[in-house]
Amino acid sequence: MLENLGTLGLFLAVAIIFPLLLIGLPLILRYSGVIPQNPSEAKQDTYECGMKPFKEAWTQFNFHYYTFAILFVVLDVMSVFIFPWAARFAGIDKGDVQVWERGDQIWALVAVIVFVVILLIGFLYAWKKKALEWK
Amino acid sequence: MITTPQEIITRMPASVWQPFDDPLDSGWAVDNFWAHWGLFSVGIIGFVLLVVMGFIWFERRFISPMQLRIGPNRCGPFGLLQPVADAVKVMLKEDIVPNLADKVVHFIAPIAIFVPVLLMFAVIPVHEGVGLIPDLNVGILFVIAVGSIETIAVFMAGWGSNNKYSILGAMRSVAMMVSYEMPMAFAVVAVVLVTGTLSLQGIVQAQTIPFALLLPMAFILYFIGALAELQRTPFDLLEAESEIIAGYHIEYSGMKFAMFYLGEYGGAIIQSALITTLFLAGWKGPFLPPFLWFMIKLFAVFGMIVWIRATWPRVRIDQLMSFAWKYMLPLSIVNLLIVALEVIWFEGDAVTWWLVPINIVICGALLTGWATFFKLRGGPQVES
Amino acid sequence: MTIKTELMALNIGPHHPSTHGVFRMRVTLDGEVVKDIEPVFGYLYRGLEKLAEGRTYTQNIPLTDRLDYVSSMSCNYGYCLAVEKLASIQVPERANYIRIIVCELQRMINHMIAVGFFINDLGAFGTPIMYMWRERDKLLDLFEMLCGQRFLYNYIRIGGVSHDIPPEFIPAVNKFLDDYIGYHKEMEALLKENEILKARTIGTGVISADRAINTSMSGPCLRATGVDWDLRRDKSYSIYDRFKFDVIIGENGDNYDRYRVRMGELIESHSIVRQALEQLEDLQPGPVRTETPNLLRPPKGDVYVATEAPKGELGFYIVSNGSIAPYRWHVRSPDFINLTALREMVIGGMIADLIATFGSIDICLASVDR
Repeated sequence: MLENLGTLGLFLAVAIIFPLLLIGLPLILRYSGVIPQNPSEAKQDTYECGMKPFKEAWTQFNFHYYTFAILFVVLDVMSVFIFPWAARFAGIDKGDVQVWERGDQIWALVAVIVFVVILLIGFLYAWKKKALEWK
Repeated sequence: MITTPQEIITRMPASVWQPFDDPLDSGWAVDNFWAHWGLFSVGIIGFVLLVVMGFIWFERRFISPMQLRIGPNRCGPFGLLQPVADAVKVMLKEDIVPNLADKVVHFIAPIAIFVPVLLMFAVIPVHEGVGLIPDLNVGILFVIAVGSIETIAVFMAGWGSNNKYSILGAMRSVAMMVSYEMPMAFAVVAVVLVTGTLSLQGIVQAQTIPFALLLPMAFILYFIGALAELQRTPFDLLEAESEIIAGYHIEYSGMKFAMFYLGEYGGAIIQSALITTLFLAGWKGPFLPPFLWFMIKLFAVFGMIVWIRATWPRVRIDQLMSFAWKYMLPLSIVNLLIVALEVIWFEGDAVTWWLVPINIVICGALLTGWATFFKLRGGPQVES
Repeated sequence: MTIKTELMALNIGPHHPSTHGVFRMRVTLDGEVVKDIEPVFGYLYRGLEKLAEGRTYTQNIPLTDRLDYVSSMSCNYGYCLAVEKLASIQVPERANYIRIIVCELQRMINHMIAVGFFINDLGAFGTPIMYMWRERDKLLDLFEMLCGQRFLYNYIRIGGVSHDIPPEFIPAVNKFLDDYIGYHKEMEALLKENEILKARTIGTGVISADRAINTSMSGPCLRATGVDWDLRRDKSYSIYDRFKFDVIIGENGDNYDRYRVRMGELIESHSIVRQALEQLEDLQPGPVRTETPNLLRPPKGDVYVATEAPKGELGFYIVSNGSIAPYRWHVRSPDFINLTALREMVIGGMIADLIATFGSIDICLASVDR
């Protein structure tokens, strides 16, 4: 497990260096004169359909989904808890942990249903309060 | 804590050092950790670049007859070299950074979009026991976790450009991630419930029946979620050409733009590969070698995605979100419950042909039944 | 709960993929919701109305080609009708039929482009528009056969048409009409019942019948609101009273109705061309143009003639002072008037709806700016 993550960590370094190289290549080509570089006022302007940009782009943008985002966080945490449950649920023998029998499975299912229902009540409440409408 | 590569090597179990049992019984076996790591790092990068070019060519050639066109046919046989020509062209373009942009964020975004794509490839099984990490035990969780980093890169690109269109695109990308992560994750949980393992290799091995048949509901939900994750039609809102022109990568040119292209198509490979692995029995298949099966399924899934792109209009942002939250999320939770009950019923061995017709009927009934309660139509007419 | 947010001023156009030319809108956005739009016209202004005052009546016909270049024949037709009324010129029977045939074919071309680009704006990139362009290209081939031009025809002249139809034209049109029904069904099968298309179009860009009449909208946009008004039937000009055709109307005046009305009118135009061809066969060959002097001097006076162009009521107002050139030449271009209702249709909707509604109005910037 840990060794795998170590390998992944090393691969992460490769995964970062490779795109850097790809972006660095045109830089080298630019300074060796292969790629043109003629900056000008109009060229460096922000594109806004051919007009001079007016007013700020970095505004306090009204994204209508902050309630969605909060719900998302709640449910995402729920999915994190559900994954390990799901991995053991089928009771497939992996050799290192005790296998669940049918009684254990039913008990585990009831436990998770209680857990999910508690969160779903919140979800349904949000739904009923029209938090899931785009306003 | 692991601090140095040496320490990692010393911690390696013997199985990494020794030649593992290789079904191809020679060439692939590498008994040295660094050699193994180097080979597969280069291999993955090469694979990604090649398949991205393959996908670009495939999409353009596949979509053009549908649109009564011929498609690229000048560069090389059947236009096969067209992506290469495009790559050279885009590399020789002038690099333009807007004056008003946040230069640092603008620079980091194209790198950040490609990193998770490469990382996810480390755990995709293309063959039994072959890969950088042939059998990561939390594979699917890792893929889901790393996959959502891409949204941050998109948001960085949109925000860093300081362009109104790209900010709109960036905001849309966050809305999309917030919505489609959940149904996708729950669809994957259904697969995990049946197989009892988080390892992608284990999931492939457990599929004596392709899960697209055994768990049709999870397959459909995951496929829709994948379309959203890929920003493909009908969910291509964040680069909606007719609305916000190019969305988040509007201010990028040259190689940086190509990085977004790479990231997008790399994401397409990843999602196709995940659908293949989770629902279409991965590299398994009769007669042909496993890797070939994997590629065939990969291109078939991508072909499906392209087909959808060629036909459907785009949904609107509020429809996209209400579809995810009101239609897909409840269905995915119900699906989870049904699969759990089935697993209990069959005492853990739920991969049986008995369940295939039952599940298809349940899936059809649920999808159509819930659709009658769910209305997508009408617009949000906000008081002005 | 409210969070303090700022409005964002966004500039859409003139250099934008879906403004169908060089139209510009200054949009005020609250997030994705459109709060206000301010259209800016004039990027394609060529002064056609003033130019026309310095040219003879016949020389003005090519100018009308360039009014609405997607439906040049209809513009030719409207102008020639106006001049004929002003100068009291009779048109030969045969020319009348030819004019009807080309105008209705032109209407098909226009609606094909309108529907194709409308769905393109909705995000179905490529396929629907290419289906439509395939048919349009066949029609352009027909027009090329007829008058040597594919786009700017200058075919309809004062007193008739420039020359008689070539013998191979009628079989070619018949063949096109036979094939067309199948292709039309193909297009309908592609997207008519698509849920995403319906979700995007039903209930968006709504304008009520009252408001549509008050803004003097016309054409398919007006009929989509449920107003049963078609100049071809209600103020029948030329020989339109000899043909049987339905006026397609919608119900709600939303984007979907405008799309359906256009698709319906394609079939109606198809049937009008059919009937016209049948009646033309019974006609003896004869002249196709009344002889008029090259330097036409209509009597003093003014005239307003409105025709049902594909985009709506195309009116020509011509004031003559008895000289060889019009004293005043004014065009009531339908898409310009229809476009004035845009603000009302999109406020409170979202950007995506703004683009879709804009596409559904079906404008041609050359005709808006003139």
